[in-house]
Amino acid sequence: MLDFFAVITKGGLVLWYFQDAAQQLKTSIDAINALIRNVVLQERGGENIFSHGSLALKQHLDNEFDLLFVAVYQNILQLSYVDKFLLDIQREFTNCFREQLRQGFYYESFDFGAEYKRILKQAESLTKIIKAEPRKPRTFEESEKSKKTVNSMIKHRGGDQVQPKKPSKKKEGKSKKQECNNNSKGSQVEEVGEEDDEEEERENEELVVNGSAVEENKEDDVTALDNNDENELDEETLRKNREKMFGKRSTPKAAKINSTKSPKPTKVKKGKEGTVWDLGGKDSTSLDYSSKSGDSTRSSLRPDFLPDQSQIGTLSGNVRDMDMTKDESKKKASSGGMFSMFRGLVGGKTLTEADVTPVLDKLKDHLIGKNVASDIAGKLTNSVGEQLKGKVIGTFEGVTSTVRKTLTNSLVKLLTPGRRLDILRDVMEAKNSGRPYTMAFCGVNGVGKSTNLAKITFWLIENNLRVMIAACDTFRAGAVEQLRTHTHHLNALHPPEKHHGNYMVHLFEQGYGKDAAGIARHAIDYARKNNYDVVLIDTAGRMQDNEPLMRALAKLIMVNEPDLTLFVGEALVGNEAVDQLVKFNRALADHSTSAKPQKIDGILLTKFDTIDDKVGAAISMTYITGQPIVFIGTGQTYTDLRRLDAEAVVNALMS
Amino acid sequence: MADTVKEPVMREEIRMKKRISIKETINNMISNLTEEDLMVIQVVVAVFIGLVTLVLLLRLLRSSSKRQAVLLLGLCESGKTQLFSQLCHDTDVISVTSIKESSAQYTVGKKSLTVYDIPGHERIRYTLFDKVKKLARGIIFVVDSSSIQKDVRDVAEFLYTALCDGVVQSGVRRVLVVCNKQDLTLARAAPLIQKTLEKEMNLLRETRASQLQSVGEGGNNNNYLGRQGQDFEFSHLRPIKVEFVEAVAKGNDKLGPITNWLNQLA
Repeated sequence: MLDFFAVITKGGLVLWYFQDAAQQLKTSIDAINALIRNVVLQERGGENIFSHGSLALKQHLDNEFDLLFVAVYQNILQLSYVDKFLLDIQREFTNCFREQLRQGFYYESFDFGAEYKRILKQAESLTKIIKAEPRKPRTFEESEKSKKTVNSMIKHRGGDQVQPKKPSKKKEGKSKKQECNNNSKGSQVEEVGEEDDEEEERENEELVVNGSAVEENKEDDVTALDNNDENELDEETLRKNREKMFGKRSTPKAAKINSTKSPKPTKVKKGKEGTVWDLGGKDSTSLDYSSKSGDSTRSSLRPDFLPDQSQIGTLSGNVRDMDMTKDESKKKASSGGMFSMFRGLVGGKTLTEADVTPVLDKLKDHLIGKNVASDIAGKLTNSVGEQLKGKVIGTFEGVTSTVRKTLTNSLVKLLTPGRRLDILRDVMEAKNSGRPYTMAFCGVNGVGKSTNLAKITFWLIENNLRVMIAACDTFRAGAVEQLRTHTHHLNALHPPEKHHGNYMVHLFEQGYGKDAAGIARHAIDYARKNNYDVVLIDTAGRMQDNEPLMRALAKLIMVNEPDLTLFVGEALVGNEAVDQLVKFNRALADHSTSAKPQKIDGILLTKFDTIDDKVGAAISMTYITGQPIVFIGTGQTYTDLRRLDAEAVVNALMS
Repeated sequence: MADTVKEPVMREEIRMKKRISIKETINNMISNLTEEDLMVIQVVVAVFIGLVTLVLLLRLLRSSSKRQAVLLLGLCESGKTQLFSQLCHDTDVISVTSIKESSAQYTVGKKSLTVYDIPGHERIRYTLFDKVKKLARGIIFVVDSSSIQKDVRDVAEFLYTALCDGVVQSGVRRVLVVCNKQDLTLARAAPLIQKTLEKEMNLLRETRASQLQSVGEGGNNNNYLGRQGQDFEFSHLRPIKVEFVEAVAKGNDKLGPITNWLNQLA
């Protein structure tokens, strides 16, 4: 049932593979390449299963000989034996070919077919046996009832309930009183013994345990059960039920039952009333505060604004790396040299889970202390644990230092961009194809989208590119004015006289209350007609749970297809970053109608100057999306824009 | 009779006198030595030991810093592992994306080179490249000829970063760009690929040459490659010699130019 199985070295060679007749080798290799790219290189090794199209892949790393064992099968099959199977194959393979692997003779033939078939048959027959067994009922120890205290289960006659109230799932809306009573009683029984529906033996056991106090329970239970089964009541129980019900009039359940039985008030139809809209009597023209004098860029500059000439020219070219003012971690003197010749003599130690787990837990707490989201820290340490199990280290290296080194490598790998990041080159490419390069900024409220948009505009005009800003934030008061002020400042810093009479920055806005996607589309058309090189789309901040706003954002992205969709997140955010990014990505994927929806392409990390070395938000965000951090904002002036340096951030994180 | 008895006694006395005199002379010498002479002797001995240690250390260091390696670089899926297996082990392999570097010896006559296969994935290529670049004497850059039009920007960026690295500029003298996968129908010829790359590197050095200095000694050193004012050409990179060849990594027949180059390098 496994379509493909391969043993691969970390250097990329396939040592041995088994291929089911129906499967093409090329598709399996493609799937394995996708697995390596997404799982191993993005440090998601702790997660169990990876799906690629219709195939599911499971992998297992062998760290002693640097091997990777991969099993590929159809997604719909959901085989349960694959994990154990991988471990068995690993053990068998390393036993058979120990000498060859140790010396690195990867180019000889590995004849493993017979053993593989044997182990596969074993695994499959074992699953068949497990499946054939009837499902045994839970023992008392496994039940939830054994975990409850005695007091919580005691019911007293007469309506006092000592047990905690659980919401009744049963039918409340029924109008018949009998059934109400029955159900109110029945649901009491349900509450106490929900899980006892199937087995009555447990009830008996419980009676023995709980003693006489429950005997009256049992009577009630039995009678109630009988009643439930036969669905008839005698007068006695009916009276008791009524008593109980009236006695518990204060309880919410009874109140609910009462309320459902009250007659529905007839709706009095009022006469036709005028609908009240949100804007409350004003219309959009009276709310439009955009300048009435036509082209707003030609309006005079504010007289009190003196452009800061010293800023001009400082940001041409690519963006500077961040300035981590802490000293770089001192390089430890290598323990090689004189003692390296002894290392070969002394045997190496193999790392086990028991060795590694305490160190990893401490490192996980350290990461959480540095503002990495807690489940991301957990997943990262799991992945590092997978890479260390069975690894052989020399006795001059400690366990702690090896674990730290592996974790540092993983973090650097995570923060290194997975694709080429050269915005200026891509802008040139878009210019050659005759269209402007579009960038969209999205994020929650107050993270710094408009401020960082202005900084990026400054960087672009320093590199002689003409920028159009699309004011698609049509909700927040003052958003358009803010962008207009930035436009004026930037045009003052790079006046048109120096650039052949062209204005370097232009603001495209259509006031407030309009549809953002439409404004963006018009802005891009205008930019194309008037030879603007870059279009920056500023959107309104929105919470990730706000369904209509997320839908509007997805529509904007889908309609306009920006070249770069930047998620703007602040570095101060902690666990919330995970939630924000997951929901934004999901919204963009769900509400898009195309087959390959555009998701977040990059991250802009803002307010980096407010955190000293608690730089964990960078890790959380890159881990969730897999996308690189394109810019870092480190202040509120135009020159406070940096590029990410993975080593420096990881040093700050691990110090 | 007294004479014969006297003679050995006299002889002994003479011998003892000689011994005593040698001893005496040495003692005299030592006692005559002034403070300065002692110091001079101490200094001479110390300097001698220091020189010996220095020579030994230099021997050790020089042997480790000798550049004996050839690096195989290139994008993902360009055929590096395949080429590596062919060159060093003469076999075709089925390969997947590499995660770790692999190395092997390539012997030509009495000399041997170490060939390193560096994975091409963007996240790990630079860290692994930094580990081995100081051992490199030559670089083989593998390019997928069939997808060059699509990937030219990525190829150029990697090649540019590798070429303008300080360690590479100081130690590497020969670079071979292998236009691999010539057996595919869409494969471009080597001269065309050279022109495409030159045009791309021309644009690239503009966007990267004005890059500001990064913090610390790590990070990009974006030296300006080629000559100012003229379009970029690989011949401008003297003393580094860049050559372009075509090859098919699968099968053993088309690797002639590469093996020639390796033989020349060794």
